[in-house]
Amino acid sequence: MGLRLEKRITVTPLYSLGVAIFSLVLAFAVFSVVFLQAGINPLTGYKEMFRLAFFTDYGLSKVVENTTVLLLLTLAFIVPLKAGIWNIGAEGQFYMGAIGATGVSFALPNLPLGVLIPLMILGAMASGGAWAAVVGYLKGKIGVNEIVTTLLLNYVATLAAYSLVVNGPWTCPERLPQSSLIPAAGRIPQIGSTGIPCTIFIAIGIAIILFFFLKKAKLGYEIRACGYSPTGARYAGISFLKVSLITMLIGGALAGLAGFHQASGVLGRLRYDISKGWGFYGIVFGLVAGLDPLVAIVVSFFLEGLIYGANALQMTLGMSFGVAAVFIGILFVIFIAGQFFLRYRIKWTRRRRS
Amino acid sequence: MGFFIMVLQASIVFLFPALGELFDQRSGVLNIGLEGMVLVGALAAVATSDETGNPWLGVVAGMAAGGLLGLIHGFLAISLKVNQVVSGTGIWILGVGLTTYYGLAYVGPVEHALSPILGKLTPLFFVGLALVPLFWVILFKTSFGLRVRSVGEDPSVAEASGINVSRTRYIGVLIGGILSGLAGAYLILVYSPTWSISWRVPITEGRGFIALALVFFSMWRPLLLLAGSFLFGTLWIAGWYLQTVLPGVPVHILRMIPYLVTAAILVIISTERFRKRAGAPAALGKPYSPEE
Repeated sequence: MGLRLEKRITVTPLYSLGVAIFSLVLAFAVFSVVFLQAGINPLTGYKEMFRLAFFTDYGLSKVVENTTVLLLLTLAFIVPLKAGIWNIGAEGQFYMGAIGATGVSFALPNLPLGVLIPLMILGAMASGGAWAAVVGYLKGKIGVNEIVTTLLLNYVATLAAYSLVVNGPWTCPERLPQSSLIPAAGRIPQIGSTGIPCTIFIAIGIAIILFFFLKKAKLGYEIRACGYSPTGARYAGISFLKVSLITMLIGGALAGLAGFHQASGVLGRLRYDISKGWGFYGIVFGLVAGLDPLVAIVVSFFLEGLIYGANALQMTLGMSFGVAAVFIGILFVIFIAGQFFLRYRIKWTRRRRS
Repeated sequence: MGFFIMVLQASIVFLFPALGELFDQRSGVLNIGLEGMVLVGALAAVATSDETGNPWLGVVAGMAAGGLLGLIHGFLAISLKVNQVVSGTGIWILGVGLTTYYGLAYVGPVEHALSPILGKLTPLFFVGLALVPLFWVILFKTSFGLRVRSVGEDPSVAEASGINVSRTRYIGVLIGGILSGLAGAYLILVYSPTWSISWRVPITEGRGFIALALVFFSMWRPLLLLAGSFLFGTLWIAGWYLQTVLPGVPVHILRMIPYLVTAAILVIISTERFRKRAGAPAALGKPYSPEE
């Protein structure tokens, strides 16, 4: 008997959901080792993770708040990859967006909310978008490897935030490593008394629009064509430069919007550690969501919940710092291994010897 | 003089993972997860060195840990034919996660670092220098090297001429992983013997990604890679060194230099003139599945 791989032609949604759930369960099983090492019953651990994230008011509001960031960063990864372009730079674009939004609010502190907020959004999306569009242009024009350039620019953007707020021009009067407060008119209004910035609706709206844009619009078709076969797209008269530029611009603008949300809606200021590595989570989430903007909404909420829950375990069960990072790493590696079963079917065959 | 020694030390941190990645890519496998492998190598090295009191065992552990992650990348990218960028990203994120969580116990100065043998240079520095001609000879003067390169150029032709593509590529990822782990051990036991953890800026500070760019810069040639390592090492140290010369410029602005110059170099070598001469392995980044 021997093994033979056969390529799957079609995959039903139910089957891919099954593979995803199986991967998740397997990740839970492997992660149990981490719990056991820390002397914690895995079942208690998982129950606590879910309870903290989804069944406490504070946890749930934090999860929704962070889902805004993660959904936007996930979309920032998805849109360029639909065209075959790897945007690993959402982290840096997020920083640039936060810098742009904060900068606008400091430059025009006396504007009313109705004017200042839109200008801050514009500033954030323009900064994040421009930061990414440079990469998109270089990729489209001369084929510069976008993975390496976006990764390098992440460090530059982080250092830019550092130089602004750590003993920099924006450092707050108390000389702490953070900026002064964003003026009240530049703070995102919250949903009722929940404390959740209303940007979550914008993020979900964008995901829905992108779903239809990628599926129905002519440009969306061109993007997908480039992702499917760059050569084929070129023969069909599609400009890869245009697609590369636009998808990176959209991706960067969305990551920048997330930066605006975090600076203006959550922290009320720019901090040098404004991201908790979220840009990289966006990569994981985007791939787990199968590059589907609608699925991304659910995946962002659910996985952010697990991350939040795992982090909160540091408080309640005394787990060490970074436990969520291990979890997401394990989940991701198992998940991408599981993708194999979406693309191939294993057949047992009788081996013939010649 | 101090500056020159610092440059040499810094260069080796780039040289090890880049050399491994060069070999890996010559066999057709791209691994963007170098950063994660260097980190895990560093953690394994510091943990083993702390527990046993013997830094050389730390070096071995670092190499083993890096090699193991390399094999995981191989399993995903070669056996399961996962997209190599996805798999490399997984290795990177897993590496950062593992080091953040398990590294907590070792935060602080490393107790048992490697001691230098010549001036301020440790044996590992000379190992790094020696590996360059060795890799050149292996890749270009041995039949094994020819097999590696042919697998990276055209796996189906290689397979038809009797070469085991999967096995050759596994050797590639293994060597890539071991050398990345060695870089981690070097980083923590020689270069900067203080362990700290941070999800945002781990101790590697993006050196794994600069090493990746360095492979493209080298046009997949070990000797150019050595020159590139010295160039990048100089840039890295210059960012720190310039603070003392230009006290008015904020330190974080100066520290952008290595990343920006690396990006600029990448742009230059991507232009038509260089691309023609570069000779990237033709099958780089493509999973090999003979049945399609």
